Amino acid sequence: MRARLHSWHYLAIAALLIAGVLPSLLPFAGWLGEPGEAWAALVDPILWTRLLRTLGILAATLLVALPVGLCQGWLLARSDLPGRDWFLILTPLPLFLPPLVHVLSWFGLLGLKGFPAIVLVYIIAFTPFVALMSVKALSQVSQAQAETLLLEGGPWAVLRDDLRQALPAAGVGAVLASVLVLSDFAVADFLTAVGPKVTVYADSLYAHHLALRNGGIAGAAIPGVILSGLALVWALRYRRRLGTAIGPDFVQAAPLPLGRARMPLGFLLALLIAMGTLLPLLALVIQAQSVEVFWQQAMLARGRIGFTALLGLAVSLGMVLLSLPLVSLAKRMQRPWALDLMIFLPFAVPALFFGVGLIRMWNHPGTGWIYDGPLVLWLALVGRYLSFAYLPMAGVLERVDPLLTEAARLDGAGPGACLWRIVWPLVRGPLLLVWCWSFCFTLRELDSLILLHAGHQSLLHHLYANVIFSRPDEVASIALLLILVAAGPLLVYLASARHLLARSGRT
Amino acid sequence: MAIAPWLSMALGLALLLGIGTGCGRGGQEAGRVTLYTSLNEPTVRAVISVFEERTGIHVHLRADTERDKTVGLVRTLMEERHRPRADVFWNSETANTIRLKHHGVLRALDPPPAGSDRVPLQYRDPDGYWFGFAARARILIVNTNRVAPEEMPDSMWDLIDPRWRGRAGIVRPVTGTTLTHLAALGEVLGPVELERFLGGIQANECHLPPGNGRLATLVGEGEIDFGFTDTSDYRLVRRLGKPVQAVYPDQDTIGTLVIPNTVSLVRGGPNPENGRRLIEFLLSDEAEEILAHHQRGHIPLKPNVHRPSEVKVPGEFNVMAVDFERVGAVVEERLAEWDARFR
Repeated sequence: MRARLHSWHYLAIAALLIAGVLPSLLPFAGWLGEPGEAWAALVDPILWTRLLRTLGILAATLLVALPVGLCQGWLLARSDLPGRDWFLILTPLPLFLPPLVHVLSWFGLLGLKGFPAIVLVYIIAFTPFVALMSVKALSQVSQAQAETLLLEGGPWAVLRDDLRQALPAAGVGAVLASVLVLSDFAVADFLTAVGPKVTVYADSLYAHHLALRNGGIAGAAIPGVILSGLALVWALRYRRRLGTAIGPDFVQAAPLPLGRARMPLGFLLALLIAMGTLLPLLALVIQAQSVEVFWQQAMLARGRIGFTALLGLAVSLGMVLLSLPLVSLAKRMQRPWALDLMIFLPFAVPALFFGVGLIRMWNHPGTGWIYDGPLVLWLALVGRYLSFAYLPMAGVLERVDPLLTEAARLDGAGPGACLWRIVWPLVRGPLLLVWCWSFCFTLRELDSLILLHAGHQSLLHHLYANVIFSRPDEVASIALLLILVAAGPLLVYLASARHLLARSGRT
Repeated sequence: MAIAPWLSMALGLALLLGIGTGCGRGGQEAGRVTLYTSLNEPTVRAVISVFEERTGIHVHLRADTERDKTVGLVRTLMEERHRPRADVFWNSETANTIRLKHHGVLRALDPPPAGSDRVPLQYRDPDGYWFGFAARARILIVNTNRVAPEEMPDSMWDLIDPRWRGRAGIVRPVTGTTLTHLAALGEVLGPVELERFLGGIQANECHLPPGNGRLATLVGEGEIDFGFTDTSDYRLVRRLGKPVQAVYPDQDTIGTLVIPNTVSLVRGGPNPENGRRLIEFLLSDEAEEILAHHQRGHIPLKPNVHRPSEVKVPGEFNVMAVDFERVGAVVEERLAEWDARFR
């Protein structure tokens, strides 16, 4: 350890263990209980066939998402694209919609199906990961560095260097997308209802879940957890390199002129973003058909709307606040990968696996008061999605130059004053963004919450309960309600992102 | 970076917030019963609201979603069996109920609940672990715009008839009533005929939607010409004004399978007495009548229950004779086999 640990560090570790790590590991006990079944599941050729098929879907997705996301990121971070700040603000919005909402919305209208439709949904839903990570890497290109390259090798040398910088970051985005694709089966199931059936890796997990085989599910989960875990640890190690402190003399490289391509590229990017945001929204509005139906559904679901909003608020706050000491802890550790692994493990394990772990962990007489109420949901969501607050939070805090706080200390300022006068003004804006981001991600989770007593009160559960049996206008109305719940934080996000960009001199 | 006071305060606040929202309800209460159901919530509410009004007992309801295909709650009941939170399990089919019985999750009702003696013998457990009511039939839903009256399919074997290649559908048989249905066919027809049917489904390029509701919708929209679904799903699509017709298959041979809803008491549940009262209500003529008049039109199993004329009851059509206990015993094995087969 580089520095002394404080009590809140231990508290944070305890919270991480309780909320995320233990529920992720407990279902692996199924391996010990039924080792033969677990081994049979692991060596089952069907499991590996489906895994390969899923990797094929993923490869097809990334084949498009990587170059498109990279180009999008480059245009947003390094070019003089018209309205690029607005585009940057709108880029993450598709991530906040569960893939099923993408499927229900304009795919529902156009009737697309089969393998290409699966890939297209994933491309639209997850390309923003690649774009945002590329933006982050490219925003660290300094003016001095860019000018030197321009003088030495011309514009192509600058572009080559930009690509070199952005590619690993885009890889991090691809890893996040991969983990989500690996654990999803609903998109393929829904879009291959007609025509050749496409089953995926998560279907094997689901089959063991249906058969109530604890050993089977533990065995089948192993390849996915290993793949996701390794990829995430790599991504985090790279991310740590991205988060090097930027000194006060840092000047971001000036945007490169696009010339005559400026307007056409702006139009293309607008179209791309609209496909993931405005079009689904528009399609849902068209499908909802009437204000009466929407209002009727809002009245029917008003309890769930309030519950979901409150839960999202409490969870996102918890995620942000728990991330702070963990980032501080990571900075003091010689081998922070162990901490990274603990944070990302709950995200890497299959969701229903995590749900089973939560039941085993909390459904005991002593902890029944947690299990029987919404607190178990709070713990579940904080534990599972902590990485989505930790990752950007680490980026935010690591960019605070330690020289600033060091100088203040030498000048006699106490820890509180340093925090309040130096760190807080630098981080409050990004912190708000991280909070909004965390809030929206909590609205996506269903598979683990479905197993919990209080989970059925969420709006997403209500949407899934109605998706088959209700009229399309009712389902579209519920999906719109879900988007409306996210709208509050999204408005905060849009306002603060604009404000932050304005302060940084981008507008 | 010394940010100790702020951080500890922040974490404390987060925990406090969590605890504040999490002060949960206890399981055991005099005027309360917890019901887990794999049926969709609006249907269940139509019945339990009457029970609540009549008895003053609040039903804490937990319903499954189509995404989890009746198994989410079965899994939860299994995981919770050392500290059960549910009193009553109302399942929309039989196979998973029987699995729960064999796993020791359910408790036999002795003496049997009032009204259970009027349930036909094949739809209740002789040991008193589960009782059937308000059934659904496994019918062929046919799009009348795409299938001419003279071509109308009338048998399960039509699914594998080459003239319907790529035009028929059945849910991938790893969940719900389709799993029970095909497992029942195995018991009734024997392994050779079942193999012929399964092989035919694959060879004839049958579509495999994710659920019966989705299949019925796809037939209603004309994406699929016909397929197996439940009467309840057919009725919903019919109510939406889609051009569909129900055909009760194999009337001259093995008959049409009828799958009842089942209700059971959970072993060690917190409110067993209220649980028994809820079960007795669900087995009453009144509950079956409500469910028969519901938009899904469940089939009453007890004689002389008032129902709409379009809800056909056994006797008006030929019913497949099935031993549900035997079907329940093989269903787990079948699931693994068919998951591998329809991959």
